[in-house]
Amino acid sequence: MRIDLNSVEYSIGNFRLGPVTYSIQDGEILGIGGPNGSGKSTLLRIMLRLLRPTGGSISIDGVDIADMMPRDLSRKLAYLPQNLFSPLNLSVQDVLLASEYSMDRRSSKLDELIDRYDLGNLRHRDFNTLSGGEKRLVMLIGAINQGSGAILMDEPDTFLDVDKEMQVMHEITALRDSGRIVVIILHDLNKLASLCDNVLMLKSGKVMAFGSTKSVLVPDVLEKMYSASFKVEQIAGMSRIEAFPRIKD
Amino acid sequence: MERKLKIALTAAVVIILVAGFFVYEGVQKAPSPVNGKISVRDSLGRNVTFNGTVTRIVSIDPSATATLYALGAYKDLVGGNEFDCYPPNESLPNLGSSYGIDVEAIVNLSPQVVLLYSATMPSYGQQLINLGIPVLVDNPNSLSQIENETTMFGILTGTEHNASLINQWMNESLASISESISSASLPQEYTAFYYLYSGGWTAGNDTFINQILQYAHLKNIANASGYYEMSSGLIAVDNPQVIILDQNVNYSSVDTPPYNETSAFHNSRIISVVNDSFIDDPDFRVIYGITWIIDNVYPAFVSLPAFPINLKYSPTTGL
Amino acid sequence: MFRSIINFRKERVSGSSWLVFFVSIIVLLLVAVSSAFIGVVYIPPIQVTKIFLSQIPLIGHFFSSGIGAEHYQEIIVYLREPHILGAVIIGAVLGVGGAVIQSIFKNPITEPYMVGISSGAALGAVLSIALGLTILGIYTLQFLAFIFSALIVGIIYFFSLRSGRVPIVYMLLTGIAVSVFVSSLVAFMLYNSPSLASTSEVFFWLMGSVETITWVELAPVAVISVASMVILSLYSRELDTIQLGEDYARTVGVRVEMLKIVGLVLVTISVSAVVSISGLIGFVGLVVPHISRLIHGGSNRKVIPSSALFGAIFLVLAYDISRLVIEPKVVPIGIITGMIGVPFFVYLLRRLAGGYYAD
Repeated sequence: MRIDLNSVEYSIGNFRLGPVTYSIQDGEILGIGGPNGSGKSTLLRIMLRLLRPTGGSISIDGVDIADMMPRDLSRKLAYLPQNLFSPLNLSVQDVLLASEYSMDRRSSKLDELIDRYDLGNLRHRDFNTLSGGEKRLVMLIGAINQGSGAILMDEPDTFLDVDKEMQVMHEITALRDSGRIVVIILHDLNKLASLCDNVLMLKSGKVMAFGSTKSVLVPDVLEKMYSASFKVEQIAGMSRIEAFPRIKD
Repeated sequence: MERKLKIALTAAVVIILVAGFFVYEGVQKAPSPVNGKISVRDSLGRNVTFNGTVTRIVSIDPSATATLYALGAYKDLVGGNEFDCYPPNESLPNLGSSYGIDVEAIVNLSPQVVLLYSATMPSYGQQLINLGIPVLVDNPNSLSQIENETTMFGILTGTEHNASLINQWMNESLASISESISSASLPQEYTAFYYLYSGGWTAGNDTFINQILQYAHLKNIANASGYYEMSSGLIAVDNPQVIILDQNVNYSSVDTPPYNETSAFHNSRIISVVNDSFIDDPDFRVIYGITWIIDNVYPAFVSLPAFPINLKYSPTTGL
Repeated sequence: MFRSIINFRKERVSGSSWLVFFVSIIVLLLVAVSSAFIGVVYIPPIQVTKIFLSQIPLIGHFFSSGIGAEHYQEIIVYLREPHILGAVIIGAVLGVGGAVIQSIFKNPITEPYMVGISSGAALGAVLSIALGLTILGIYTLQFLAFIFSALIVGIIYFFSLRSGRVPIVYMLLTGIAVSVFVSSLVAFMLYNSPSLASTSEVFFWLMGSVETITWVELAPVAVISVASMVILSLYSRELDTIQLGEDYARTVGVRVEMLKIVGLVLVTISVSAVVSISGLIGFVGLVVPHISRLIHGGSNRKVIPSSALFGAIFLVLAYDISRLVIEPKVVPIGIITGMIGVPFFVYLLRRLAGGYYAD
């Protein structure tokens, strides 16, 4: 599978995003980084067709997503939102079943995933009574179970305990290794560095840099984006980024 | 979802067609009168036909009950209503009022006709008609319509002779009222406000109450049509010389503006109706209502001819 | 693998839910049948039973002897039966309508009347009562109530339309605004036509009542209602999904705008139909779906059918109370549902404050 962003633009009020041109390939983890309000979530929502771009287009395997049926699109793209709220008391089970809406239920891997994340005891709980981290895991399981070629995640690491976070990161790598695309918004530069193959950095709606993690996450680029000084070290083949307060000249 | 949508659309079309059919059937099944001997026309202009005089009557209308009693047809009543007050000491089952009638209990009495009045909810009448029970709606808006209604009840119960006696008595009474007023050399007629219900409800043109006031030598200040709430501004401007309070209106409610600014209040010409069934119930007893008003407003004496039918409970006193 | 699917499927409607459904159906049957034995006029139970049996097609005539007075049959067949069946259908439709509207609006304190059904139906009813319209024969009121409620919902929908989508909060606010406007029209017309008959008829209609329902009116309404409820229950998965947010529903492949239209149209048609014969019976649409959720959890797969059952049971019981509270008068059933509904709603609000509906 291949997702192409062709000079995608979006503007609302004074905010302008793009143009963004980028191609995502099978087996790629694309990280989207940048400060708050840079348009990361907006870009994700445009890719999911929740917002209509004011310019450019997005295609999956050469087909413009604007021309796809909702059900077909959901088989290509799954979404892990920042938060889900169930105002009318759906159980964990009901929330997970919602993610299977477009699927052939015979290919459901819910039981397996629930076992893997040890969530069996939560199954009949009211979704709203879960902790933030538990909700996150349930939503992740739903997104993985949707069986689409790509999963678009909006900060999946928030609220997670350290062991669950490692498990989630491992899962994302495993998804990539099984040939799926992961597009992930992350605030934490070190997580971007350790998890992603490629990174796209946004600031105020503009693409500041994109390309391989090592080529993008360098002090030069980062210092243009954040008002801080940076030091990047390579430890065991991984970038380790440290930020310092910027000393004014 | 596309398949479901198709199912939904198909179902919608089927629903509309089936519903349309039922509704069409329903409208077609309008009640048709049975061929018979007696035909009367009620206030809605419906002609209702009966096989003969009726002997099982339910009256939801207190005036109808009173009229039937005067006609000597009280024995034909099998059900009365909450507001029946003449004849007193009623032993008939209470089957409701204008606000709600007990259809089930009415059906249980197997009446030949149910007498409703204009304030009865039409849906009740419709329900009775659907059950095959004939319904007559009375709504007299004038004294001549009261006489017509008395005649109608006479025909219905085979007491036409008594009905014509009552109507003749009404006409003679009205003549003697006019005569008494002209011979008493009264001043010009006072302007009057009939306070029917709290909030300034009153009776205007095209009501029998308006006609009662006219016969009582009063000029009704309410000159719009029907029953309505008269604005306090208009009451102040029209400044009635007489205010008549219906039985359920307290004297205290006229001790406020605009009523306490009127000539009626200053000259103590506010009269409280003691028994409002003489004035509010459209039947022959309104004659007594007219004379009662004249007695209380003017220095005139009206003598009425004796009521032509001998009744156990006097219509004059209602007792 | 296969086994786990089987297990998973089973859990979708778990064992205890089946039991509750079974019990609810039995209770509904018992309540509905026994209601025919209650009434102002005492009819010996044996006669009621005979009248019931004599109505069974083909074998009915074996029981038609010894029914007793002819009017017993009239009371049972033409009064009590359509009223009870009317209560069943009206309660079910209001319950299902409430569940669907709450799902679409993602809001536990909405009910079907809020999208303009009640004000529109009231406008139609008052038009026919106050102006004495009879253009469509004896069922003018029902026709006008139905047509105007659909019309007002349509107007609210189109006022809320923003570039092909209907933002749901916008629709709720538009609905409230238009309803206030229409209610003013209704009050104006009532004030200008204060004949006693029309005032009491309107009052009675606004309170809601099942005691004027006839078979002729009930038949088309029943067909519309049952069909709408069946179709709505086919959409329970979509309605579950939309509860989690319209964006999320879109990303799992639900055609959200289409779902909203289908849901609103079916709820409007069925609720308008029942309202046209009963008037505005309040609180069923608000309260009953919550009872279902407290018992079965939030999934519409269970909430929709159980709201139909509970709504029906609730309204038949309310009808029985309305007949018995001040014999021989029948209190409008809407007064009873309000009297039961309000305390329950306050209780629910406490649950809300206690975190059950917390966000």
